[in-house]
Amino acid sequence: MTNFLAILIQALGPGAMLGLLALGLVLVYRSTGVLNLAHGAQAALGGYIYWDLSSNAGLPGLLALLIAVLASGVVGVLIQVLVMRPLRGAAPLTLLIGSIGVLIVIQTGLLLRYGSTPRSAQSVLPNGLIEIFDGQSVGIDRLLLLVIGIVVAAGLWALYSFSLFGSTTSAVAENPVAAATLGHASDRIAVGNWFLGGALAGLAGGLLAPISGLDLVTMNGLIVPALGAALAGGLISFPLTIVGALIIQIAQSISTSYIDFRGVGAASTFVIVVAMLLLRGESIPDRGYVGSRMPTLGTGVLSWRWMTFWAVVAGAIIWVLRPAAWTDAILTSMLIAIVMLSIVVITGYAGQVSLAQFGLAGCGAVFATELTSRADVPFLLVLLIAAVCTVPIGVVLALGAMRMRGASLAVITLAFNVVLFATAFSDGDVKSIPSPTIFGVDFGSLVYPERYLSLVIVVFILLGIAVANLRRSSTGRRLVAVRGNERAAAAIGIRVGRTKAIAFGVASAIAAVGGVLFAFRSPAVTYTSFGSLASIDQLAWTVVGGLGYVAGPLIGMVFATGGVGTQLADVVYDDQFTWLPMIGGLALIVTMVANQDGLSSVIAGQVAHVRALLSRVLPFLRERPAAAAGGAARVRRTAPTPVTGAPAPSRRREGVSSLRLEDVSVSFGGVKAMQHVSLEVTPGTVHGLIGPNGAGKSTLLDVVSGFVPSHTGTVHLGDRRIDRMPVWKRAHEGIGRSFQSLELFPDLTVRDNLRVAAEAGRSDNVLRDLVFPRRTELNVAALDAVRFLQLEDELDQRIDSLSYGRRRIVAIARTLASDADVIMLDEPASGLDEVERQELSAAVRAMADVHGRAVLLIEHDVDLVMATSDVVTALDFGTVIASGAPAHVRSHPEVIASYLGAVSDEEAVIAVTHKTQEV
Amino acid sequence: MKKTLGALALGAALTLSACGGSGGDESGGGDTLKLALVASLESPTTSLPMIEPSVKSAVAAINADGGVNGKKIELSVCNDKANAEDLRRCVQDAIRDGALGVVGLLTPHGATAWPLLESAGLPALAPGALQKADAQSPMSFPIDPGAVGLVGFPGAAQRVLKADDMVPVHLDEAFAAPNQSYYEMGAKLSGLTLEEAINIPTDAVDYGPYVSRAEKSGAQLVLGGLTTATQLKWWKAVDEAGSDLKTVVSGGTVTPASLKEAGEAANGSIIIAGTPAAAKDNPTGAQFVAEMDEFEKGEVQTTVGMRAWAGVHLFAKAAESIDGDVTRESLVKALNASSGEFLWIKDLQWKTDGPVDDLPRLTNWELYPSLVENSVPVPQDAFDPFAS
Repeated sequence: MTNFLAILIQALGPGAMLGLLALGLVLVYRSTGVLNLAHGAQAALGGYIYWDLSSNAGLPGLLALLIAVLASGVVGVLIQVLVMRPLRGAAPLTLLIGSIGVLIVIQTGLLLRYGSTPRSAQSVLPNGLIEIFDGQSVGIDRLLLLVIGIVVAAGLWALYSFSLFGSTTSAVAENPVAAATLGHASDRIAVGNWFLGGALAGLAGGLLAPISGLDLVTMNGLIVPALGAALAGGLISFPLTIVGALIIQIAQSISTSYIDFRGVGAASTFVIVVAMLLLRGESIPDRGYVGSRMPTLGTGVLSWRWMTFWAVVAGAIIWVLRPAAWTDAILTSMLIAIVMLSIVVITGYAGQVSLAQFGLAGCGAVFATELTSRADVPFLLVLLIAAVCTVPIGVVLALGAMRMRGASLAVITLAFNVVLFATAFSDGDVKSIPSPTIFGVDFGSLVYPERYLSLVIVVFILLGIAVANLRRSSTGRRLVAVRGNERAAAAIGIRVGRTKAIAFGVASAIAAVGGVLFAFRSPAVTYTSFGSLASIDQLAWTVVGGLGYVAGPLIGMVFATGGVGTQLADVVYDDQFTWLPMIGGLALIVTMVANQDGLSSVIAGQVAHVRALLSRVLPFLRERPAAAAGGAARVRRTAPTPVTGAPAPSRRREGVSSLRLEDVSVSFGGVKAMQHVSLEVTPGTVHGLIGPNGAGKSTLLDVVSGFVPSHTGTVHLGDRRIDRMPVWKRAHEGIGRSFQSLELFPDLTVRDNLRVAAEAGRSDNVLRDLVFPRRTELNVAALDAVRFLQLEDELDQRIDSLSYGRRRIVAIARTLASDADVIMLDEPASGLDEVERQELSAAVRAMADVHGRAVLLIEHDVDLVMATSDVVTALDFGTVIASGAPAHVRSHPEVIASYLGAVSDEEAVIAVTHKTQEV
Repeated sequence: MKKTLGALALGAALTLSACGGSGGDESGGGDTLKLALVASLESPTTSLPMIEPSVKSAVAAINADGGVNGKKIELSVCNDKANAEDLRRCVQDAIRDGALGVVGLLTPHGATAWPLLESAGLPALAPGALQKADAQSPMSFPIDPGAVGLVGFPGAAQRVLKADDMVPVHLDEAFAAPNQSYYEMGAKLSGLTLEEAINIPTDAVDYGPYVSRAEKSGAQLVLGGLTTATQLKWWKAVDEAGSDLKTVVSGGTVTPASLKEAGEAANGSIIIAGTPAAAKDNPTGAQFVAEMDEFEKGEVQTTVGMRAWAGVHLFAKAAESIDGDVTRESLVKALNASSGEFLWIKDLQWKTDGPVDDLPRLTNWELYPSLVENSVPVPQDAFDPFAS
């Protein structure tokens, strides 16, 4: 027991050190939204400055530390001004890639300045030991570090909780536009926060260097557990971050003391982080969550002419020119490109930031090696088996993705890669595998490098076609919908978790194929290449190439270590051109600043531009006015398919169910959002729901949709009780809704927004979608909606090209396209002009009268509600205060009181209308 | 516009890349004999810049002496940056450039290199053996046990410090996986038993708790299978804990700079090298120092550099013994046939396998311990752990 306690106490100091490092990560993330992977490098910079000044320049330790802290703060400011400010408004993923560029620049700068020799710095803290148990002791400096960690965390908490700077930072982080409107200079706030973040990194570096050692690797290596600690605090809480760091370090100390298996330390960190994330995570983001903007997507439409052209060019280079020096470099790049294709699927299409893809490739290599060492399995079968065997591992990651997203998911996948490296890939022995043979032809890369390269290119093309097919398929549309807005996706019936699992599964299989090809490149295999840093690199280069394009990996692969870019540098420069990594890091930053959507989108744009110019003189191009991107995917839009012909006879749905709420109550903590609410919406009627802000209207919709659980009461659709069903299931049962904030899928066209809603209830057939995606047109319900809401001319437009009013109409059309029994419209008239409101009123009326739906209408425009509804229910403080015919509710005293307070009935009725219109 | 410029820059880069290209045939019949230096000269994780001047000094000395059978040695240099992909590129370049041999190889990614070298029949002369594969390939011609010399650690500790109770300490990573088996083999050879090994996670912030664990094991001494950076960290932690635990470390993980950084904490530790000291106190060291000084005074002189330097002399010795053109095949044949004294080695040969079953190419097991005194390694008597 005393030994256990001793281990526990000895872990407090290291835990506090980790916490200090993590606090800076939290500070930068909560104030600017950047998951700063360069934070460890910034800490190393602070450590080196401290060491240089104290050991070489002979400055007193405290003064050296102070200068290191200030200098690191200034470096933080430079990062904000030179990198993050130009990236303002970019996707969080782009910001993360920008931080990787900063990491490379700082690390290379330190290498050039100080070399890779490890340094030993003297601590400013007093040395000495305090005996604890059983002759064991703990350093005074470690205990002081614990105190410092707690004090710094408390100070930061106080700063951000009680100061003007802190509240302004929160305001800017929450809503930069609104904050700017209120006169807050977001740039100045960002500079202040980056200074503090840099200074914290410098402080951590200066204090840690004497203990953790000072070299170019150690502090970067601490970034994963530090991120874990930061996640424990939800990337927002300073005190909980320190607590998380202590728990992680204690778990590591205890596990390495009592459990004897390789990688147990890394595994314990992973387990702790997963446990904390699962406790904190949410399966579906709440109402405040707004999906982050991601790099743009290609359409996945393939240009067979271009593909054939490039395949012939590649074949000619490999087999005719036979550039030996380049064959190997191209092979290295192509192998990486295959793994990058998996990133296109998981991060590009599905929006799940995975930093484990190269680790999954390593799993493929392990399966292939183990398989071939036990049995004589044909090479193609090995590829297949390894891909299939890796899918469950990817699905395990998807389980995490069901409870977390964004930065949390990035960290957990990174930690997963670290664990794989420390455990599954930790066998240092060299494994032998046979030469790959297909139908008797030897493809061994040592003897036949051209054959192996050709094989890899063919595999890339096949996988590229599959990925492009996926993009155009119903599965692909679901992935893009989930990427765009998980709430809306669930609301139209998409099984978000299952969709993520499909994305992780497909991406894992692709990565595994890449891993197998990596393994078979050489007859001797080790797994030490499949580290987490390689996963980070590959994500970065995929983003540079174009995350949403099949052609993206073909561009991103140029930058792979040992690949085409390295060979190019070898030709242009001397091999030992030591500034090359620095130039690479700067190039990464410049590319991100210049073009956040990746180079594929630039090329696609340029090709479209050139085509447009050429079409003026070449008529045949005018016939096919599509833009093409190089490589396997072109970004040509599908030719518009107008909805033509006479309007179809309006369908009146038969057997539509009514919606019935009985005694429903909801509480958020101590706040009662709904109290014993009962109402019924019957088919062929419009049921209006009014009430002042905070009355519980949207909460009621969330209860019916399944986003908010009710604490009492029941919700029935017809005779089916639905209040225990998940969101997607309720949509399948016939609940359709629009959102107050639209929540359309911005990466899809209007047509695809409708199509994804129409297809949501269909079963998945991923294999078919990968091989031969069905070309589906809009279903009858969607076509009805298009004609009904006059969207024919806008079907092939992207959402962001529409006016706000038209987007509202699309949102309603998407709800109708799901062919639901019950249509719930959340403030559909918001932002519409008078003419549009009248059209909307007619349309809503027609949904009930013509189509026979049950419509629940939430609207602040009381005139509209009264004119449109058959029945109106008024809510106030979560309670039904009136219900019945519109005229009855309009004149109900409690309704009048809830809007204006007690005045004369006539004045109040008039005021109700005007007041609510102002809202 | 800036997007277009970005794309144009990339296009230009790709065009440039398509204009390159190189090739070369195995060269031995010309006026020069091509030799390739492949080493981790500079990288964030491992930098061994001293290897380059060491190798160049040997080439310069041999060429100044008339070359090899009248032919000058032509050296190409490639930095493998301590990663597998750059190592592969370096080896492929050496093969394509027609190199007859590779010197300076000291990498944990040897598994990547050996199949390529074997496929091309290109021998590696005096590579540092870090992994089993380095001591197994028929293209490997190691002249000392390298890191695999961990087998000799327990014996050295017993001889130099009279210790009989030791605890192995490892980094918990793939590269360190085989180390425990080497320690156990060495302990068995010396009739010792080891305490339960301590594995340190690679992301451990503080080594203090692990030092405390080593102390608690009751061991007199630590067998350290760490890296240069982590060894320094270990010594610091030992110092701060007030422990008097001494460490046995590999010569490959200690540099003059790291010893200096460690200060008093390293005193009393034993450094095991597979070569004599790179100093004038022994004939080989004296020759190395002389050639280095002749090449360029002030360069760092270490045993790691000296091993690579010896590789060049081994190449010259084997090539000189060949009648006719020096080719990779004839060079490999000559190396396999070599015997007798070479520099500090009494009988260098690869005709018969070494004493360890799965390390057949390690035939010379003479180890050179040094005791660190005042941050300077003081040579002790050499020994062979397998000598009866």
